[in-house]
Amino acid sequence: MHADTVLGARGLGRQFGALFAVRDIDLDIGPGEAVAVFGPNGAGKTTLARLLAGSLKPSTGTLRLLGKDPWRSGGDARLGIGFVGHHTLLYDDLTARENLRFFARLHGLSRPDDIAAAWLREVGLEARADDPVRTFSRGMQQRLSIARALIHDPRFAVLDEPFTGLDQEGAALLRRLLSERRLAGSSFLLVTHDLSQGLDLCDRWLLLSRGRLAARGPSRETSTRSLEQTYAELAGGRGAAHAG
Amino acid sequence: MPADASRGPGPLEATWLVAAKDLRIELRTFESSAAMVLFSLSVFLVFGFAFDLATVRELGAAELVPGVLWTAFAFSSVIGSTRAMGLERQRESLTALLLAPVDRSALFAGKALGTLLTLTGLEAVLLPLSAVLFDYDLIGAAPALLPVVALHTIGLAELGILLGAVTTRLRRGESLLSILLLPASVPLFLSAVRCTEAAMRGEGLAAVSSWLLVAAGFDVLYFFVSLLTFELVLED
Repeated sequence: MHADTVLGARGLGRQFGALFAVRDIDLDIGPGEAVAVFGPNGAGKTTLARLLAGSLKPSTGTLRLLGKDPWRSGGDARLGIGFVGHHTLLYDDLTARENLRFFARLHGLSRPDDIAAAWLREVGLEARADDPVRTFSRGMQQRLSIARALIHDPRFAVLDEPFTGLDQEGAALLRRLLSERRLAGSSFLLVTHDLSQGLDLCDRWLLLSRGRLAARGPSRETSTRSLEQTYAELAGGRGAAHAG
Repeated sequence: MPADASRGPGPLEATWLVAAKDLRIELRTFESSAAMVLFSLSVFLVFGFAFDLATVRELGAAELVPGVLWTAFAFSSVIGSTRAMGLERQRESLTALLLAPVDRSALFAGKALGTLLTLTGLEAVLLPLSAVLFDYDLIGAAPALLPVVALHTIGLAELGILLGAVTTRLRRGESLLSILLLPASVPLFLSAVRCTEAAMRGEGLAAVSSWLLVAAGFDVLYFFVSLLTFELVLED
């Protein structure tokens, strides 16, 4: 594991009762690197995403995020981590601006009002900034959720199906944000079912099956068709036996 | 958009941020307060019908009202704690809180402070109302009664949030919270009823100093147990 490794996982696993949702994950992610995670339903992608973001405690193995163990190093170890999950992680009864301001303050940012306003502009929600989130469409909530996750400019972000609910414009916005972040040296892990999008946005890909890393490779040397073939072979007849 | 944080907010600031956020939501929706006021009014009415004013006067308000008040406050704390933790489950915003660079004990303190302030607001409405309904001298009792109410409400809020954090992860957690919270806070209730009785009789707090010590002891105990265990409780 390199000293400047953003994420280093060794033998990482998570058990729910008798069932291993994810097991034996070895993974390193360096600065500015993007990794796509593919896998059929129930393969353990969401569990892996939560483990790697430090929001779910591993049952086995070790995890270093930005050089620290997120479960032993206190609050500051989580300073550089962003997370977009299946839920928006927002407060429905607060306005978009209040949500972003709250999370900006919670991350210790010194100009939370300015930063919240800038992100509202960035994700195209300036006109609805003072409306409660409960009045937003799913796509608008997803845009706000992305702003929430990236507001503190994290060095590493985990994005679990972040394109869910986004329209064409929103999806283009997210692709641009991710590309800009990579150029600026931030890393991310993208969980997606869209193979071509994952290959397009990331340097490497991982294919998860039954909670294990079944295949991996560099995106540049992988065609969508060959990946589809590998995916189909692994997914064929496997059933959704594992928590995802 | 480069951000500038090299560390998260301190524990006190994080506590206030979480509490202020909860209060802002409550002041906007009145979801907890409305339920708590309605429930408490029902309790007052039930006891009002069971013991008419003549009976209350004959027995003395100090004999009946403390039990009525603390029954209302206790169940209101169940409602308040359930709502406070449920809020974080609505869109799984608890995950975002847990990933923030703040000490997780500050999250507990913030949730407990928010609940405490909501309960205090409720008590500010219910105490005068109970004085009208049960005909006792609230102004005369207030100097002793207010610290008694504050001391015992702190314990209720602390325990409610800790147990609320446990039960919010479970199915039918809301009903489980009242099953857990009420027995766990029995020492606090005994003390609350006895101290309220003394305050209403005008006996002064010196007469119930041992009960006050019990309450203060439980407040401190609940606080430190919660600080130490909140992170464990919130783990999946």
